[in-house]
Amino acid sequence: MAVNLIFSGRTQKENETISDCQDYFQINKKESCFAIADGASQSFYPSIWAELLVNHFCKNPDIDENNWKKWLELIQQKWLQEVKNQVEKAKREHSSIWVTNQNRLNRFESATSTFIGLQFTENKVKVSIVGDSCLFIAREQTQKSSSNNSYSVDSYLLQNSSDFGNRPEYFASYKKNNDFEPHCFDIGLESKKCSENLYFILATDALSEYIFKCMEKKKKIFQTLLEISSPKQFEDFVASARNANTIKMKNDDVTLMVLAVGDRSMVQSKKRERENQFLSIGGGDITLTNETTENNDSVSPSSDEFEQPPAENNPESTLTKLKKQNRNLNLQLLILGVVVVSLLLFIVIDKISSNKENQLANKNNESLSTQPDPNSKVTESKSTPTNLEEEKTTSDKVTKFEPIKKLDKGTTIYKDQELKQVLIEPLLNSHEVIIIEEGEDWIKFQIELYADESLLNLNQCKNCTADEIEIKPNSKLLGFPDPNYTEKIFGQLKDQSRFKKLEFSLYKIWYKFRFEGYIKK
Amino acid sequence: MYQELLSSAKPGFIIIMIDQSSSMSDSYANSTKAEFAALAVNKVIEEIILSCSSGSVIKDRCYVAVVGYGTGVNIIFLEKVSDLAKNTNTETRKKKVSDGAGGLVEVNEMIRVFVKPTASGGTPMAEGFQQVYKGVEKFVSNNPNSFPPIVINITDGEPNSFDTATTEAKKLAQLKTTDGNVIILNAHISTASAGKIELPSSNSGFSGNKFANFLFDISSVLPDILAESAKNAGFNVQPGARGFVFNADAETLIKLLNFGSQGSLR
Repeated sequence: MAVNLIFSGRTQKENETISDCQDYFQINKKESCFAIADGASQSFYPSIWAELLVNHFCKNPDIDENNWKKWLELIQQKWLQEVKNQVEKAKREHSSIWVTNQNRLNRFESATSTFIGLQFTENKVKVSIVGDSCLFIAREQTQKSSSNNSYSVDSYLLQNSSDFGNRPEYFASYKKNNDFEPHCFDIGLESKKCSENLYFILATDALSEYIFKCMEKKKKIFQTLLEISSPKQFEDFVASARNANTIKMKNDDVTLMVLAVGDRSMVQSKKRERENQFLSIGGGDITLTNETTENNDSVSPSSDEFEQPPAENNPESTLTKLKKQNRNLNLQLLILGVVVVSLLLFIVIDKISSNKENQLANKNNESLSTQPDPNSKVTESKSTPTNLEEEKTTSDKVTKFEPIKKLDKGTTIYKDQELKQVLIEPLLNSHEVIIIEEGEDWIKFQIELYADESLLNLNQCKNCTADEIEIKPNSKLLGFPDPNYTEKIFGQLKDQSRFKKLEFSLYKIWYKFRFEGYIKK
Repeated sequence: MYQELLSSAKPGFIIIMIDQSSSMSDSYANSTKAEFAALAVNKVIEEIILSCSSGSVIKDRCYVAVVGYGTGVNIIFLEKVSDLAKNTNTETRKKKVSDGAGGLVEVNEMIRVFVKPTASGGTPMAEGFQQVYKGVEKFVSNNPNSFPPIVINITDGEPNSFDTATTEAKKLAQLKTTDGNVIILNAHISTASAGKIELPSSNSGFSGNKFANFLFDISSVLPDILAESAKNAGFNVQPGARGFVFNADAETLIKLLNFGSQGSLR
């Protein structure tokens, strides 16, 4: 199943730095795994725990209601070891935090974190959730008579803004605090031809609560979220929501991940034992059935963006909708045979197109803190900026990319448009870059690269700002954070240079930065 | 109202007032009221530091002040949390904690010493509120959009003047940020086994008790965030409950200090 990563990012509380942020997310494109976690501020080293959770899931997504305690054990040990190291370090350095943290270690205090993990397989998405981070599944409902889009929305596990409290369920870093069983369920996905995407929106609590409040106040929110495609837009959105006059977002760490699933060929949905949900995308209609009522809180179809009140207040609306959708499905089966040839042709063209988009978008998403995977099936798309306070009147969720150019191996890269001072010579492999400016005889481009910490003048760069790094001369700059990928080596830096640092938390010895240079036309 | 989270951007202010009058030398919880109150306050400050710690750093999510009143009014300190944590004067005590396997294990617990037991003079509570007013006024001026300051008053006896203390406390309660008025909680500590009052929503059960009525009158109705925190601490909280306990034993005092100081530090 092709999953498009539209955006992933996290941000910290107002006036704090990203290193204070206790939210984490992780992505394993190859395995189609996506996870977010929100470390509880008042717990003990929640940041380490939240990061371990998302990384662990993306490597080992096989968590369920039977094995979750075992699944946690490995990282519980890792967390404890890392915490012990930190406390010993604080003692050695006579840090004022030592007394507090030694007490917490002595009394076996846990870190706690909420968690959502998604794994997309051929015909379903496997969902694991604990706590008040929420998963929203939104489907566009394009109205022929209007350029406005609305969305029908399902939310998991919480259903409205009043569900948020001070004590969400969590995963804990000590076995003794394994108090909350995660909700693990599958959502079967079956697709027929349809023009709309199905969006999976993962959000930590402050944003989730804000989303619910917007839905309850009939304020458009999903269009806004789906149009976020850059860290800047995300930061602007959060700042605007925190300072809005009407509906305010709490000043908390915020993580957002937006995924889109497009149409695909029909497959049989497999049902799991505990919760049998079947979400079918076809001909513009979703069919969602929940064949058990044992766990009602995990499924509650609700309607966002004006047409209907939330489903919990209007249970008949869901039934009516399902009946209507079933009639539509029958009609679609009739015409399916006619369009099948066209559909196959469309899929081939779309595949070619999306592969290209994937390559481009990988170079365009600054906040994606994951290992780039050249073989990934996941694509990323970018849409136009938005302003939260504006009610958008158009559905201009345009997929648009910066111009891309392939630089050939051997290309010389210059520091500025004078094209005299060489920055890289020669380029050691061909690379695709984003063109950001052009002159008569020069082209300015950018690309995201990596350098390990041994190549940096850490703490020695006097003129560097907080978001800059300085790299030593003759350093090899990499397009992938592993020198064994020789085909990903970009080139050797001629002189000591400064670059804008980008967030990259997966491997701490690696620094990610934005490289900008010039080439001759 | 009362929605803001305490953060470095919008720090809070927690003020603890301690009665240091001579009657605080009376016995209480296997020590004296003064000794127990000092220990309880030191512990709650430790908890505040803990709540403001994030991994290996301490965030200045709030300011903390302790004001004593007895022979006079004494501002024991007013610091940012990160500065409080620099206090190297610690005592080590033994504490039993769950070992995670159904048993208890004794561990060392270090407590920073901020407040020492004192018991002399009268009960100039009104002057105490006056002193707190000055600090709070400055705080709300500098932090107009923060969660409002929380004042927790620990006392064992009647103030020198009911009227003046009432006036000063109500004046203090009028100060506000955009997120709400100053919150005043009162804890009357006593060894009396009868007549215990916890977070009452009306004074109908103790209308003949002038002292209890006074403290009820100057105590704030708990905003939702503190009411929830009080519930989690084990109190029976009714709508309209006020932040006030009377004839509180040691456990009740600790519970009030904890929910009063921690509720906004969620």
